[in-house]
Amino acid sequence: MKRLTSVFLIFLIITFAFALANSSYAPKPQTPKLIDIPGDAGTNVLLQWRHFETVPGIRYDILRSEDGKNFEVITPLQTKTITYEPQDQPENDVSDLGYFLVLVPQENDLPIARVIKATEENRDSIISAGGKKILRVELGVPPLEEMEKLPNKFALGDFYRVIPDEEIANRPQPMTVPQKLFDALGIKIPSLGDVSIELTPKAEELEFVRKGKRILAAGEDNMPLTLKYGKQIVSFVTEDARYTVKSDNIQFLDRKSDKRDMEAGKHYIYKVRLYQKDIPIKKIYVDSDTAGITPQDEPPVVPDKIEALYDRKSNTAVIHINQTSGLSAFFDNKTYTIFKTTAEDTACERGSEIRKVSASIRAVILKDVDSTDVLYIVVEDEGGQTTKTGLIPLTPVELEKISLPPNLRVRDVENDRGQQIAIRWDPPTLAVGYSVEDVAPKMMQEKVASKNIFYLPTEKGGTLFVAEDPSQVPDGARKVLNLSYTVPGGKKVLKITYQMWTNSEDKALYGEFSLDGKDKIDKDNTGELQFRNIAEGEYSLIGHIIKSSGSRLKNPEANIDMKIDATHIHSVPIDVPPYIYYIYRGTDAEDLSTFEYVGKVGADAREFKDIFDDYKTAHHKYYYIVQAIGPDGAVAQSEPLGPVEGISNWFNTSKLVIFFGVLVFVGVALFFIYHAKRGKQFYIRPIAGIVHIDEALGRATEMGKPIVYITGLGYIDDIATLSSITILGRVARKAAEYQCRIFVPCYTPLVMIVAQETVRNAFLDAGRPDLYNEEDVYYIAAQQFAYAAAVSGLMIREKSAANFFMGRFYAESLILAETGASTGAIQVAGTDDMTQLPFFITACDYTLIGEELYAASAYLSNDPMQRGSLKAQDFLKAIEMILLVVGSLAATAGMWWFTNAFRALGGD
Amino acid sequence: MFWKKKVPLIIVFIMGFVMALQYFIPSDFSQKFYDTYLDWGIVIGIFGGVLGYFSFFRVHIHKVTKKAPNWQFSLISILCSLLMVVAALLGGRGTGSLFMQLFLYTSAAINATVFSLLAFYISSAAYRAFRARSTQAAALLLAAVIMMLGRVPIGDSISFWTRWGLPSINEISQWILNVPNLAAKRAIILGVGLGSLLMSLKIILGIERTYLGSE
Repeated sequence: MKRLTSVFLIFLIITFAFALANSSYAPKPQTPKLIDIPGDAGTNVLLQWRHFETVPGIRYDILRSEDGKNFEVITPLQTKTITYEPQDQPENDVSDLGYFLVLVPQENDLPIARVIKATEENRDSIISAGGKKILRVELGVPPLEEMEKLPNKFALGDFYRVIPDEEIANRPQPMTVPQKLFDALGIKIPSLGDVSIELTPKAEELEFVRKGKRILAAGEDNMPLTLKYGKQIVSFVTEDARYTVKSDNIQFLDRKSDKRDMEAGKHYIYKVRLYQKDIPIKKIYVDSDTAGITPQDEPPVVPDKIEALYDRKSNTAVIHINQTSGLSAFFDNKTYTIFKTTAEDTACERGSEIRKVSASIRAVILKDVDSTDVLYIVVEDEGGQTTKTGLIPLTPVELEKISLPPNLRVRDVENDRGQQIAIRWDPPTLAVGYSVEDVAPKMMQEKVASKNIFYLPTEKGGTLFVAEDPSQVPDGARKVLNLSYTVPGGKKVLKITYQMWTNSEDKALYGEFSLDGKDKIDKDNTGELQFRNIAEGEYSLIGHIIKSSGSRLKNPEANIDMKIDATHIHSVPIDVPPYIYYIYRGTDAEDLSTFEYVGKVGADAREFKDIFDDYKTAHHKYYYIVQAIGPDGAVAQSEPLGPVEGISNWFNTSKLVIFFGVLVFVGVALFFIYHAKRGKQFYIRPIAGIVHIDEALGRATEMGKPIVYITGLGYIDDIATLSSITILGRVARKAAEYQCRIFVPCYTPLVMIVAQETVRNAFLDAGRPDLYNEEDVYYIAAQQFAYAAAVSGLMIREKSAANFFMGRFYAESLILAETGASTGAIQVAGTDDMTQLPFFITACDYTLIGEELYAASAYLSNDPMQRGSLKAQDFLKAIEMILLVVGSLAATAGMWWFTNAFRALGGD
Repeated sequence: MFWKKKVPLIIVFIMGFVMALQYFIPSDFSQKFYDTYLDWGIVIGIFGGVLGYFSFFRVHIHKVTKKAPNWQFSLISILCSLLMVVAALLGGRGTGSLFMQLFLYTSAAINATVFSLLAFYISSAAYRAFRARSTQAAALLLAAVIMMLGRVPIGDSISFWTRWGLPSINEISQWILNVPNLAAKRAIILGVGLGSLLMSLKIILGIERTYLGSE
């Protein structure tokens, strides 16, 4: 051990010395550009900078300081992983194309790169302007040793190396057009859907390709073709430097949070730190220059989309208020106060307040206004600053009446940790759509080049026409060369798609349908059912929602009776009404300004779950308001619902069946263990694999060769590994009694420690501690195939007489078992892994299948309690078998109540 | 004996019982307790890693110093292991680092090589398993042939009987997988479920204590 420690110490000292002597280079990162987010409380600063593709950095740290001296790391940001690859391919050599790189300087930013093709006339002026001849372009990042040959400089630009391919350009080009274009042409195509056509190449593409190999800036020529034939350039290589142009914009928002403070009016200094390497004993980084900013608490930003409607039918007004700005999440708007005034009050000063609401409200209903009134809104932010909108006239309209969903209610969500509140409503609805499809449509192909059909793209999508003289077709028209389309194959299938618009309280399980008396149910709730070999005609479809109790939901919306037209191939989608629901949460039912928007759902929802990020915030009393919004802007608003509080539940009722199962199981097990302890003898059926463990040990002893025991690749918390360890204890004890050497190579360190202890004690119990060698129970590697190779080597070298494979195994199982078989060893395997069992059965003499592995230790032991537990297992298996048979019979007879009963109790 | 046997058994009993109950308790306290428990597992696992590394060194240094048969392989193992440590300490583990290059171009390649041997092992195992010595083995062989044909395009091409509405080889192979095979698998899975539950119960109650080192 002393020698081992010395080796380690020397090794660590050498490593530290090397690391400290090692230095490396990373270019200075760009100084971050700082942006004070407008309209906020002065608590958000956006940092932006560029990261160039060739910069060998692994991450950025963002640092902030208040005094310019003491910087704290705010956050690390990982950079994109670089893939280094050689860039010396011949096609990257552009030295013969005569391109020059000119850098146009910019104030406070990197220069802009321009690529100019030199001619005899402009060559001298380009060189005098500092132009550098481009020798090579790079489309990726070259290896580091190549990078270090030239200084790396940076410029802004987006360039592409274009290498045209005439063969690709000349290929007929595919396109899909609607069948009706052929109908308009008078050509009957019996296609089931759109028609694929192949066209002659576009003239502009042929022209693009003929221009040959070149470098293009983004947007300089046809961009789709530039992308089709080009690749983005990462760097230009000139004689004196590498100019990298490809970069990513990195952004980070520094904002006030629980972890960090930020105050309006306070000066903050930022810099970014680029790490080239991050090794345990030395960090190699380069800092950018610093930049400072003083974030301000700006006045609130008024909503940029306000729509005020006056409904002539109900004599009420509705205002829809929306912030569409991408920065609206940072605004600290607190309340909207709505005033009504007259059109003459252009300064918005003489209005009377009619409503004050939270700034997150999306729609407000105003009853005390007239169609001639004019409104304005005063927006107040968290700091008390205000901003007014301009005058908002009411637009007179006639809105369709919209209703709130029936039976709106708010509930604490069951079986959670108290961080969810649900708003639920009715009615549970079965929504059905269908499609009549062809089972095996046939693909047809047709050559039509001789028919002189041309395709002309238009603003509305394109048109087809026939022209005998190709020279007379308009510009942009292309000849149709080939057609391909599908025609009906004969048999039809009817696909029913359905949705159950229900909430958790409905306990809806699946849909049950009947098509002209032919019943089908969707037990797995896939939302789709098929009726095959449908003959043409009209069918009657009846559908129901089945609850977990097995009964149907009673309300008419949850039961449909509709006609299906199966005379032709077509589809009818599920019809979702076009209204939506907004949900608001508040703390005071009387004060609308406390309500804030929490989410929206479509008309196909019957429930909204308000999920709190922090479970503690759910432990307050909350009220909820639901707004139904119609497609024309009509609004219906509920009264405040609640109060309700998120409750942390102490029992998950959805696991009731499992709980009862465990209770029954434990009860039965304890019963048998108790009787076994009192001396009752149980008959245990023999298991071949276990019986032959002793035989294998005896054989190894007779041959004077060792045994190899593999505990598998499982971790110590695997039941299979624990079982393996228990069997190892018995095997090791027998091995000690027979004076047989046992090797236990381990895959994980924790298993090794337990295995060492188990084998040591087994030898001790057998009275032969002198035979125990700790180095025979050892750790190999936590890599699957390294382990497999090492164990295979051990079996071949030691010519083991018996091999045991017990525990959790993966792909290495067959490698181990076949190697063992090739040495002629007797092999006993045991695993609960379904995928590896066939391999062991094939390659081993005896295999413990599934639960036999767990039973082995009890079987080997003469402990009555162990044997009692084994009996309990067999007894419970018998109960399982009875349930399986009864369940199968009940399901076959259509009595789903049996399986549904388990679901009803929460056994999903 | 008290510290080595009794205390671990008490800990296993309490923790086993508590964690079994935790499965049924969704409350916040229960969830936090579970998260902490998992963190503990990770921490203990890290210490186990150190012990494993020591075991590795001890076994191989012993072989080298004693000049045991094939001791050269042990020396290579030690040197390679140290090389990876040095490479990680000096150059980090990022993309393009020496450590990553060693991992990708030696370790991963060797792993793939050993894995690819599996194809040959499967062939030899299949040869042994599919000899039709008995009725059962013949049934196994027949099922295997159908499965193999069902997985390649020729299986459907030679299914000439489909014109009479009979299932193709592909459909038969799917049926074998989905019906008899799945039924057998589920039987084993149910047994495994029961067995693991009973094993857990035996460990919690202290009936099964071999994992502690002895009975």
